[in-house]
Amino acid sequence: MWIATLILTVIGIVCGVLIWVTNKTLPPEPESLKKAEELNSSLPGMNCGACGYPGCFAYAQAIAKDKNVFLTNSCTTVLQNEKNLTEIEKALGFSLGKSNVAKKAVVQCGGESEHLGYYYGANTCRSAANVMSGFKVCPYSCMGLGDCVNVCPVDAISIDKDKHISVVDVDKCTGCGLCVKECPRHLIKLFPDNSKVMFLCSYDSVKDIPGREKCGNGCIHCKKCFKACEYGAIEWDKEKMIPVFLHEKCTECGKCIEACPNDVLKYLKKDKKA
Amino acid sequence: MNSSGASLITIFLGLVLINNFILAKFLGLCPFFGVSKKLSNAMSMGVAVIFVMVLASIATTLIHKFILVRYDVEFMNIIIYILVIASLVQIVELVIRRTNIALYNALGIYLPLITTNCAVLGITLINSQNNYNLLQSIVAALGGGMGFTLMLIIMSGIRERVEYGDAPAAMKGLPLAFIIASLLALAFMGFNGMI
Amino acid sequence: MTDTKKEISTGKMFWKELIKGLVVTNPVFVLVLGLCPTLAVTSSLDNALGMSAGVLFVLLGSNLIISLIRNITPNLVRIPVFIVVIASFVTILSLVFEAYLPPLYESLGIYLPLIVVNCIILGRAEVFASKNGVLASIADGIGISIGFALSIIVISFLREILGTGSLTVFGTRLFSIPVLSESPLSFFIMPGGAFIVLGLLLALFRWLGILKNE
Repeated sequence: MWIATLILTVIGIVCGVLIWVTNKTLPPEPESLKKAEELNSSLPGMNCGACGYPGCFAYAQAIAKDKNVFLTNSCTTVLQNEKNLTEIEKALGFSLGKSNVAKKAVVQCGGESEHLGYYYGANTCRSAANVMSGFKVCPYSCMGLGDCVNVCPVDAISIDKDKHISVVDVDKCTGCGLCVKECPRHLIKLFPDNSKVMFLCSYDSVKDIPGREKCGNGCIHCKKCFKACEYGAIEWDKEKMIPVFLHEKCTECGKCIEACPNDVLKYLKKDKKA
Repeated sequence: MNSSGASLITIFLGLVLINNFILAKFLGLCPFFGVSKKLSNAMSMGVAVIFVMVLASIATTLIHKFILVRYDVEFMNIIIYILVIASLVQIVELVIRRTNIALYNALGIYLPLITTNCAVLGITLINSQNNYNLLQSIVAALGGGMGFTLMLIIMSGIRERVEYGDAPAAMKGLPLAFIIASLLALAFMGFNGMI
Repeated sequence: MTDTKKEISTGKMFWKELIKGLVVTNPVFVLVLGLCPTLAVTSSLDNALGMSAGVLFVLLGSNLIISLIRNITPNLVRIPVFIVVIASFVTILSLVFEAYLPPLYESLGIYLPLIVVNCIILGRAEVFASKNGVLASIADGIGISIGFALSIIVISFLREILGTGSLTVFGTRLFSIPVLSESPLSFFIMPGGAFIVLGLLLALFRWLGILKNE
């Protein structure tokens, strides 16, 4: 019995000594790694990859090596979080300033387009978009098959089952832009956080003849919103025949939203529903 | 002690195709279903497992031959093997972390998962059960690890495609992966008569 | 008055932890941990019963010891200490089986020592026993092992009936189904059958929503 205990103790001690020796004789942890650890604690840790680096720790290493990386390629989630932003600015030693505003993703499609038929193909928007021109009447519509839902690292996107479109939850969205790259029809775009009214139709009227029959939520270029605004916050783009919103002048009175006959306009922040 | 006399090729092919670690011996299943969703993760995990298995086999075979058998304390093998494996993984992680950061980012995160992987402890127990000498146990570890990696790559390739299918909600994810594994097991049974 | 109140609350807590291990944190169907023994030993009911007894012993013992020493282990060597404690219990179990139950020891093979790296035991030690008192850890250990035991008994029941057409427990044949025992579906005894039975049962439980994965 004593031999067994002795052998176990000896092997345990040998293993412990080996670990200790390895720790001492190897070159110390590189300086950048220590700093990277410290920076990593202020990063969200979601490893979404939107910054282009394979994970938050790799991004932390990059900005530890060269702080300008943070200036040109800021982590959008950090930008939205005051505490983390100040921690990183303090650690790196410079301030970002107000030049970088948080952004939110918006799916520019209202979804009331009728269906041409049933789709029985691969359950991904990328495939469905290549079958003729999609299974909805409008060739620029969102198909609601969820490629953007799968790629969102914070689960901010959900599918509206009645309309077969995807909807972004503005409170959860961190503006990383992964859904923007994923959508095969480029329907999702990033807008600044302080935008007020959103235009939810992506029909390209320059190429096609517009028509109300295409979609119950589509812009018919009636200009009613343009005429309804009393504050000059809407301009009319003559080439594309769609309204352009100047958010600084908007007072959120809601007249343009009421005036639109097809419900194409909505507030960005949902609690202000008209 | 007489080694079992099996030739190296028999051992290698036996562990890769016939007694595949995942499909026939059920060792290393937790990472198999966890890491097999993306091909790149699967490759990194597979390489890390092969590496740890070979090192662990070398260390434990030497300890088995020169300490456990000589002092007649073979019943201590479980505790001592797991201690050695845990320390080995710790040392390897330290070495990689201090010397090559790129490698650490690619492989290092999988190393702690491998400590409690049934495959590593399994190969050391198989080696001591069959009384392999040093060369045979290295070949066995290579075979076991490569079989594991092969299965991981096949499984992740299939799962990446099956993601797009229209499975019922109860079957999505893990249940479907199990059924795929059972079909793979059925297919690999065809190798049974090879040796 | 306050003494009896404390007694009632610890009693209730004991049963609560016990039931939790059965349903909410069922190790096989909810946590999906410890797949290696689940698939390997369920080819016959004997092996399943033997493995359940083994896991009960090791889990109980390790939970007890770990929750006793949880306040004096330094954080750095926590995991190696847990592993050594669990490995000691497994060695004891292995020697006892080898001495008193040789046929069970033979048929379990290398899966008996592999209880050491069973994710269930290390997981419970890490998540529960190192943070809770002795009584709660014991209750949790019993609950989880009973949950595990019931799960693998169900799986081995199905596999043995379909795979050999009859049910044999420790040498006494319980019953046999007439048509099935002459030409059994031996696929279910093989590895492929193990995977498919577990996969379909997982799907069934998810569908019933009884053992919901959070």
